[in-house]
Amino acid sequence: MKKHRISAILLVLFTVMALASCDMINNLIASRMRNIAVIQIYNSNHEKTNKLQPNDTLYVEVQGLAPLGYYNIEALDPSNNVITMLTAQADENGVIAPTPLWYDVGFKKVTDSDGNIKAVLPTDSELGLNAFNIHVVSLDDSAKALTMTDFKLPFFVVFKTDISRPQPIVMAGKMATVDSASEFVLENAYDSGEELWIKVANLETLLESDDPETTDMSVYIVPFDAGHYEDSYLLTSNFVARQIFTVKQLRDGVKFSAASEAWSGIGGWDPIPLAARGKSFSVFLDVDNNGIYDILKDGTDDFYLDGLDGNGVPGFIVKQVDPDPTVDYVPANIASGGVTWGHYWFEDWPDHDYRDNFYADGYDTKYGYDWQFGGYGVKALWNPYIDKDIDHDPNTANTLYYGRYVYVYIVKTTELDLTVPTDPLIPATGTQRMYMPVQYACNNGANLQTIWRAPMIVGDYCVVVDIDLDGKISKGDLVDNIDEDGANRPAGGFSVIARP
Amino acid sequence: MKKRLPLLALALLLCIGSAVAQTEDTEFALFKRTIAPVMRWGENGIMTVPKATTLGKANFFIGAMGQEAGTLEGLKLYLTSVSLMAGTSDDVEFGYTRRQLIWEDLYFSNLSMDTFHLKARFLNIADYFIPQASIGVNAVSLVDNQFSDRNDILFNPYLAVTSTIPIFTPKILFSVTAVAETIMNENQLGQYQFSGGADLNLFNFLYGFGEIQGFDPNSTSSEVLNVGVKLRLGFLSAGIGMFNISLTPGEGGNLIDQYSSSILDLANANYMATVAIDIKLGKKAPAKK
Repeated sequence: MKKHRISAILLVLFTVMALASCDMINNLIASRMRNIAVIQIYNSNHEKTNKLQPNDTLYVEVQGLAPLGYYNIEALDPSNNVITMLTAQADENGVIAPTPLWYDVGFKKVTDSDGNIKAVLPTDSELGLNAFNIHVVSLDDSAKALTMTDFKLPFFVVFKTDISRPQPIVMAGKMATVDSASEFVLENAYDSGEELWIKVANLETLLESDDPETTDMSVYIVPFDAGHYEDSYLLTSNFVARQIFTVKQLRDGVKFSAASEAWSGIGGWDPIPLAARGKSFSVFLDVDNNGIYDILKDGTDDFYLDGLDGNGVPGFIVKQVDPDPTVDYVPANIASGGVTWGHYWFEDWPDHDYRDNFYADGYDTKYGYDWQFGGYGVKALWNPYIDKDIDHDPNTANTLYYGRYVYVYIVKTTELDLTVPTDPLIPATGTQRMYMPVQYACNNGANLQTIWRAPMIVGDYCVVVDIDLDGKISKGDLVDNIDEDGANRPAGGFSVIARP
Repeated sequence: MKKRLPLLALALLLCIGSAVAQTEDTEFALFKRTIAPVMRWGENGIMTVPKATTLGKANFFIGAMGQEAGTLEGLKLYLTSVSLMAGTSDDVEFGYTRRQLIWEDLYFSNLSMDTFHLKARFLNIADYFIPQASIGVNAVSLVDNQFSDRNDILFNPYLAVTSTIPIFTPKILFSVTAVAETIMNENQLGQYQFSGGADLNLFNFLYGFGEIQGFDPNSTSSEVLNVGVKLRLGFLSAGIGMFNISLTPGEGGNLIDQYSSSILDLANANYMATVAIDIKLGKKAPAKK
């Protein structure tokens, strides 16, 4: 009885504390609250959620950091293996705006019979779970990170594969001989003169009664403009070529052979025309042939309609002829002002705003006040139109997942001697070597991001994308040492000049 | 033999499940550590694995746990959990957990997560030897910690079976537990996972625990092992545990041989601590005959 009396007193005490002093407790909590969410995750629709679609992109936002400090952000599996990582600079408020960290969430890594690593979606129809840690650490050599930051928090996301109608997965590819049989394989970079094949996974007819052998759907080839295609995007105003196929053809893989309709002088697409060299494209599937990119059926949240290969990143590119096969690196335009040709009426080829000169204040560059990049400054956008046959294997040898990331450097032109590729790359004063995640099988698959936040320091610079992370120029690395028209520029890829 | 009892129990339970646990075991273990309530270690749960036993009618439990998350701009961060559990009948318990990230100067961040818990025991024939069985569910929001839409809630339903064995005297109790569980959202079930473990209660004073999370019967990939000890004095108890120990089963013709020759890896292991207050207003119910 005595034992019960003590327990009863304790219970009453706790109840009184909890009820009678609610205001006090709330006030106490409010007075002890830093309104900082530290880490938040988002899906590619910019929704704060733990529920993602397969093949979605995970964005991360970090708060409470040192203003303008540089940080590495990693997605770690439960055994602390790196899945993917990025380097980002906090803004004036100590915030890293939502930035793509993990492309193709839900994909797992497999090795095919040839020993090549591929990314695949789970094929069963059960609810999936990814649990992982996000690790944020300040960079040691950055004086801007005032004090040490190194913390790790657990997160989880679920994604469904059993939905009313899954979003079609559109793939540009080519036919290759595998084990003496002709087989469709993914491709991101073509030569002109090659055939362009399209295949669509997860493709269902809109009605169960529709016959896949007679039901038609439209495929559009659209110039890649480095933007993000939203719902209701008007395809009929912006395409280069379109062709109608049956559902069965698209499921099996089919050659695209239409004539160009909206880009004069390019010719037909069987094979890929010469005029497409040095250009990048997205591929849309319009399942109801209405000429509009509709993500979802009206009034539903899991009945997907159209599909797209190349949103924010190109679906495929057409390579240029390698001007100098004797050099290992790839000269390419990278430094961009970010003021890209938008999703407007198709009049001319998209301009990715590659520049030779930037004002130090950066005020004429695109201001990234929200997603993907922050503030004014030099952006990175690259399409390596020259193929050096480099290794496309992921960085993540020990995880279940396909993850690939590269280094991005800004170096002083005077400190980059391309005749001595063994020299270590040294980031220019005011810049930082940055990790940047790239998409599956696609070294050009990164969203437009700020790599040098304004104000910049006057001088001549080159941008280097170190694909194999060895800290020096090696085979397949991209070097922006050319002008905006592609000609060699002795001063480097860009110059920062004082505003008059 | 003691070491093999939990494995035997697991093996028995696994016989009822034919589903393939494709989700990586370590991921499920991390997920479970993120959403499980603070258990009354060794009583209504082992550490993070639930037991079939319940708190009992009119008994309450407040438990807190914390672990260091790192340092943000020079200030240490702690990931804390507080659970309030209530035994609403002899066989049913209900609970709520608040997870909160706090700084070392006791300021709160607004990064928090709520989780709700419900467990109901449906088999309780005897206190000892004959297994008791419960079903339960943990519920966590998937969208901004909101519970307004059922489709935005992730459920973690489970079935727990526990057998308690007195060692010479009822004051020394050895208990083995096996759990089958999955996740559910929008009426869609995920894949099945299995967990289990054992605990030893010495005179209601000293408790020892070991549990395996995320057990896949069809592979010998690494699982996650958690171990811990707890001291109890009256209504107060405190425990310390080590979690995320990687356990790689060895070679062997059967499950028991494989786990008997397991390799432990502490590289990713970490510590957790708990303090708890028991408020017992109810009497322990006799087992239903």
